[in-house]
Amino acid sequence: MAKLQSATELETWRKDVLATRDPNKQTITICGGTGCRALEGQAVSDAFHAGLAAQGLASQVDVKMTGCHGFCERGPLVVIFPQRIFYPGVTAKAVPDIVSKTIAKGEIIEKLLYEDPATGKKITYEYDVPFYREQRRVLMEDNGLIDPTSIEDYVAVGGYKALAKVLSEMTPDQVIEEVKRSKLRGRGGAGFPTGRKWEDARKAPGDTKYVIINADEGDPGAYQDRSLIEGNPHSVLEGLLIGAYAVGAHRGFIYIRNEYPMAVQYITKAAKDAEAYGLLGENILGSGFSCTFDVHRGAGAFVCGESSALMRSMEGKPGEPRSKRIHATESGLWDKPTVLNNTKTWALVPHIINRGADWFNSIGTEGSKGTMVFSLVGKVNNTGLVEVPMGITIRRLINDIGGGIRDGKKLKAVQTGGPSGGCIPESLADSQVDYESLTKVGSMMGSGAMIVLDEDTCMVDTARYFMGFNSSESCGKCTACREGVVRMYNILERITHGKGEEGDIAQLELLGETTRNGALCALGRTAPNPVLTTLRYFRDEYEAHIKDKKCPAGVCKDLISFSVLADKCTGCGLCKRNCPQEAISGEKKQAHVIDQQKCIRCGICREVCRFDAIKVE
Amino acid sequence: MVALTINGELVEAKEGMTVLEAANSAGIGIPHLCSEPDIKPYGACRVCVVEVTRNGRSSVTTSCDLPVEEGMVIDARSPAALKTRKMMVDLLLSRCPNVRPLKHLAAGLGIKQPSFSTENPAEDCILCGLCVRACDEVAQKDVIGFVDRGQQRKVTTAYDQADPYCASCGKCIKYCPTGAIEHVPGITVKGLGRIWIYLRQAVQVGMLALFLYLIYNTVRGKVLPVPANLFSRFDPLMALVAMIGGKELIANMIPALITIVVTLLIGRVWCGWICPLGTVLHAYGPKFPKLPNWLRSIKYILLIAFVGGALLGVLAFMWFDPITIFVRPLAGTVFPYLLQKSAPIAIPDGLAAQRVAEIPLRPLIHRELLIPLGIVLFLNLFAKRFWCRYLCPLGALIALTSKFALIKRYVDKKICFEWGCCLHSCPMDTIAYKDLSSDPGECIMCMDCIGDCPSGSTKFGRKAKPTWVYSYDPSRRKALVGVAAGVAGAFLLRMDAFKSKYQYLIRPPGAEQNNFLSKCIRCGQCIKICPNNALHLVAKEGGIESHLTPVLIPRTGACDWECNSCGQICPTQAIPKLSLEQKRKQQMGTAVVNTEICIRCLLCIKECPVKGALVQGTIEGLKGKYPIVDATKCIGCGACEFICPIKGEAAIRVEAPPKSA
Repeated sequence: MAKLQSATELETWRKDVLATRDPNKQTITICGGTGCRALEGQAVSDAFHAGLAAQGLASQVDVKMTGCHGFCERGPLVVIFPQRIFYPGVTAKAVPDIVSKTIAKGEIIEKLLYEDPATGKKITYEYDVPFYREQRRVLMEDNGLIDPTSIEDYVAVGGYKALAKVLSEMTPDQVIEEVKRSKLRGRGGAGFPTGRKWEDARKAPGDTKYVIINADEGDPGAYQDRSLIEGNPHSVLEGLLIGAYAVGAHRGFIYIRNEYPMAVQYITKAAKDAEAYGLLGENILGSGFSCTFDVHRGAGAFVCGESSALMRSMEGKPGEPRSKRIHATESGLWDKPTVLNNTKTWALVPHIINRGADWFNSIGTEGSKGTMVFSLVGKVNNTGLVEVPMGITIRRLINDIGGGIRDGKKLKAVQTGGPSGGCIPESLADSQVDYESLTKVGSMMGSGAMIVLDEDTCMVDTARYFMGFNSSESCGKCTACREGVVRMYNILERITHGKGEEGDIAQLELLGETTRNGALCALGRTAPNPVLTTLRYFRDEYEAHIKDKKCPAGVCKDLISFSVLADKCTGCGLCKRNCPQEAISGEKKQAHVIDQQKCIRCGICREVCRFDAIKVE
Repeated sequence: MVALTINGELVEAKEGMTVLEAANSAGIGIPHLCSEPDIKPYGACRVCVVEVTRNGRSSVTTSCDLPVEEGMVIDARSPAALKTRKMMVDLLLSRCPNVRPLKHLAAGLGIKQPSFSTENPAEDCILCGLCVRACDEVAQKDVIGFVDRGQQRKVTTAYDQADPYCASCGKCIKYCPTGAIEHVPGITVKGLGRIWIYLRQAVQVGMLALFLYLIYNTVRGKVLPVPANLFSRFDPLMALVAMIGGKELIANMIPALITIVVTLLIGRVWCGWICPLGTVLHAYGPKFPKLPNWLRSIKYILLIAFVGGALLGVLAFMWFDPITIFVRPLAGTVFPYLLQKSAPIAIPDGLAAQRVAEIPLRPLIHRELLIPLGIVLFLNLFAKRFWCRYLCPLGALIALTSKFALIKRYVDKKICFEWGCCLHSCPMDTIAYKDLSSDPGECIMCMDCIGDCPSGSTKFGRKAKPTWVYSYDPSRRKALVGVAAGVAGAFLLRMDAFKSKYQYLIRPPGAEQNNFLSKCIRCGQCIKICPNNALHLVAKEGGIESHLTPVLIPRTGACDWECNSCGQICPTQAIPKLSLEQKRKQQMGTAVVNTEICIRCLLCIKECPVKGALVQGTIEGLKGKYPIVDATKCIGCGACEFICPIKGEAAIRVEAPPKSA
C-alpha cells in the first residue's frame, strides 16, 4: 500500500474499505479484552471458526475478536451483528448451538440470553442491557465493533478523519482553540485543562517538543487505559498526532506498562500500520507535518505514572518526581517542552475535532465536560468498564449500571481515585461524579477506578490496605511520603491487630495533615487520603477498634470471633467439612460448635453457611 | 530585584533566587537539610517548609526550590509550617535516632523523643541525596545513586560493588551532613571540626596538668623549666588591679599583656583553652540552665567594683580571682594535707630543745580555703561554667577585650542548614536562637560548635562584626553601680573602724614597707613556697582588708635566715624581690619577752640568727638573766618564738609593726 498523500486519498481509501463491507453481513464479535480472554475467549473464537467451517458458513459470516466491551463480569461476551444479539458468558461448548441456531436459522437461544437480575427478564439485544443502556459511550463506542489489529476497521468507523481535518483545514492555533473551547480536562486525575496545557507548550520557546501518552496505569482495580489501547489503539494514536500538530512536536511517545503485553503489541502494530499508510512519520497525509512515535515500556513502578517521574524514567533515570515549579510544558522530557496526557484524554481529542467542542460541551457538568470511563469493581453485581457523562451520581452508577450490591447487601462506601483517593460513604452516594464534587467530599477523580465496598468491609482495614500500597509504592525521595506513609500504615496495622492506643487517631490526623503539606509530588500529597476520608466518615469504626477492640464489620481477625447461632444452624455439616482447622464439631442435624482455640478466623464457615448461622463479632 | 516579605521582614532578592537563598542572604534562617548552595535544589527532606501567601492564597511548601516572586509573603514560622517541619524532623529522627546533628535540630523544634520506633537505631543515612548529587554535579562521576524505592531506598554504587570509576574524591563525604559515608575510619571530612575540640581538650588537660605541677613544685630552691607563678603572671586582672592599687608598673606582670594581645587577636581563648578552673568547670554541669541572662552582667559589675576599689588601693576582693581561688586551696589545704600524710608530724608545742634546722616541716592545713572553690564547683551543678558565665571578674575583663577581637565566631548563612547544632553545643549558651550568632564577649573559643556543625558553616574569622547588643552587656547604670560599690567598699575598709588592731600581723619580709595590701592579690603562692611553713593566710584576724593575705606565724615556723623565696614567687611583687642580704635586713616585727612566763632557758638567744639582736641581760626588779631584745637589730623572723619551749603561747613573741623607730 502506497502512503496516503492527502486527506482526499484517505477518504477514497475509506470508501474503498467500506465498499468491500456489507453492513448487513452477519458478524460475530467476541470480546478480546483481557478479562474475556482469561475466561477462555480465545477458545470461543476458535470454536466459532471451527463451527462455521463445519457448517460451510465461513465465507458468509465474519468472526472478529474485538477489544473489551466493558461488561467483564459476564465474559466471554459474544455479540452477533447486525442485530446485536447479546450472549454473555459463552463457553466453547455452547458455540455449535449458536452457529447452528442463531447464525444459520436466526433463532434466539433463550437460555444463553442475559437475564436482568433486577427484573428477571431475558434480554436479547445488547443495547437493551441496562449495563449498556445507561452508559454514554464515546471512547468505548468502537471497542466492540473493530478488530484492534486492523487499521481498516478503524478507518471504516471514521478513523483518522479528525487527523485529516486538522492537517488539511486547521492551523495549530485553531486546534488548540477548539480543545480549549471543549473544556476538556485531563483524565489522569488532576483535571488540568488540556487546551491550556497545549497552549503553554506551543508558546514555550524551542523547536524540539514532545508529546507523550501516559499509559502507566497503576491504580489497583483500574484498567480503562489498558482496555482502550487493547481495543482501539488507533484512536489514542490519532489523538496524540493531533496534539503533536497543535503544539508543534515532532516526536511522540507512549509510556506503557510492560505488564500490558497485549496493549504493547497492539499499539506497536497500530503505529507500524499507520506509518505504512502515511498517517505517521514523515510528511503525514502530504501535509508536510511529520511526527515519529516510539513505545516506551515502564518497569512497573506506580510512581512513574506521575508526570515528572515518568519523564525521568524515560530519560533513563530513577523514576522520581521533581518539584513542579517549572511546568513540563516549559521543561519536561530532556528539559524540552512536553505535553503529557492520559490515554483517555488523547483518545477524546479525535471525537472533539470530529463532532466539535459544542457537542462535547453538551455532555457533563459546568466544570467537567464530556464522559469518563470508570472501572467499576468491588462488591457490585456488574463489574466492568463503564463510560458515563460527568455529573452522574455515584448511586446511579452503582445501582443502574452496576446492578446494585452483590448478594443484596448494603452499600457502605465507594473508593474513588485509586489509592490516593478517598472513601465516599453511602450517605454521600448522591454526590455527582465530577472533578469538583469528588474533591469536595475529600476524594478525587483519579484515573477512574471506582471500588465499591459493602457493609462487610472494614474501613480501617481498607485504609490499611491502601496505605500499604502507598508505602510500598512510594519512590522514597521525600521524607513526608517515604517515612510518613509507612508510619501511618504501621499505626493502622496496629489498630487492625487490636493493639490500637489512645492517641492513635490524633497521630494519624497529624501525620496525614503534615504529609499532605510536606510531600513533594501529588502522589505523596494525596497518599493520606484513604486514612483522612475514612477518619472523616467512619471515625466510629476506628474508635471501636481502638477502644472496644472490636471490628464492627467482622474483618480484622484479631478482633473477631466466629460462633454458631444454634437456632439457625441446621446441622448440615457444610462448615465442618470446609473448616481448614477442623475447629467445628457437631452431630448431623444438631447445632455445631466452633472451637475458639483452633479457629483461625478465616471466615470460610461464614461464607459457606447457607443459613446465616455463623455469627461474627 | 524582587521584593518579598520573609518572616515579616522586607527582603530584596535577585531574580531567579530561591526563597531559601533569599532568606539566607538576608540573614534569616530557615532550617534545611538537603540543600547546599552549589548543588541544585532537590526537595527531599521537606524540612525547609514555609507558608507562602500569594494572591491571597496560602499554602505550605518547600523554600529550597521555590523561586522568589514579587510581593510574595513567606512565613517560615507559621503554625502550619512549624507543624509540618516538626513532623518531618520527627520522622527523620525516628529513622535515625542517633544522628547527632539531627538530634540537635529536633531539640530545637521541641522534639524530646522520636515519636516512632525503628528496628535499626544505627541507621545514619537520612536519604537527603546530597552525596548522590555531589557525585553527579560536583564530582561529575555519577558513581553513587539511589537504589530501590520507599523504605528500601538506599544510596549505593551499581550492584553494590566498588566502582572503578570512583575517583575517591571524597565529595560525597564532604557533603554528607550526618557522617554516614566514611572511608577513613573514624574521621570524616565533616568531622574535621571535631579535631579542634580534641586539640582544645588536649591543651586544656595539658594546662591543668602544668598548673598542678607548678603549684606542687612551688618549693624553695627548686629550679623549674617555667616560673612557678606563670599562671598568675599571665592573669591580666591581677596585673591590672595590682598596678592600679600599687600605683606602679610591676615588671613581673608584663606577661599578662600577652594574654590581652592574644585576646585581641583570637578572643577569649584564655577562658576556653588555658584557665585551669575553666577546664574543670567545662567538664560537667547543664548547658542550658533556666537562669536569666542578666545574671551575666554580675561579672562586669564585680570587675568594675574591683577596679574601683583598686583605685583607692584596696585589693580586698582579689581572692575572687579564678586563679587565686584555685591556687589557695591547693597551697594551703591540699598539698599540706598530702605532705602531712606522707610525713605526719606533730606541731612541737614546747618540745625539748632542738635546733630549728633539725625540726622537719610541719604543714598546717587550712580547710577554710576550700570554701570558695567548693562553692564555685557546687554552682557549676546548676549551669555549666556558672562561674565563667556569671561571676568571673577575670572573664569579664577578657570578655570586654574579646569584643574587639580580630577573629570571632560567625555563621556563614549561605551554607548553614539552620539545624541549631551549634546552639545546643555551646557550653556558654551564648548562641542566639534567632540567628545563631553569638556574643564574642561570651564566646570562649572552645570550638564545641564547630565540631558539631554538619554544614561547615560555623567559622572563626575576621568577618564577624563586633556586637554590643546582648542583654547582658553591662549598661551604664550597672557600670556606675559597680564603681560606686567598689569605691564605697574601699572607703569603708579604709576607715579605722574596720582596721585590724591585731598586733601579730607579721608580713613577709619587705612587704610592710612596700604598700603591701595594695598589691597583694591573695593568691597564696608564698605560703606554698615558704619552707618552714611559717607563712599562713589570715582568715579573720586581719579584718576584711587583710582577708587571705599572708602573715608570719612564728609558732608554726620561723622565717628562714637562708631563704628569700616568698619574694621570688610573689607574682605582683607585693612581697619584694630581694637578695638574701637585703632580705636579712628587712624588719618584719620585733620580739617581745614575756617575763612572767619566761623560764630563762635562753634557747632563743642561741637560735637568734641576727648578731646582737637578742642577748643575755638582767631586767630591773627581776632576778636572773633574761633574753633582752635589741629593737634596732631584731628583724622579727620569729626564730626565738618558734623555739621557745613554753607550752601554748611562747614567752617571746614577735609583734608587728617593728618597733625600731
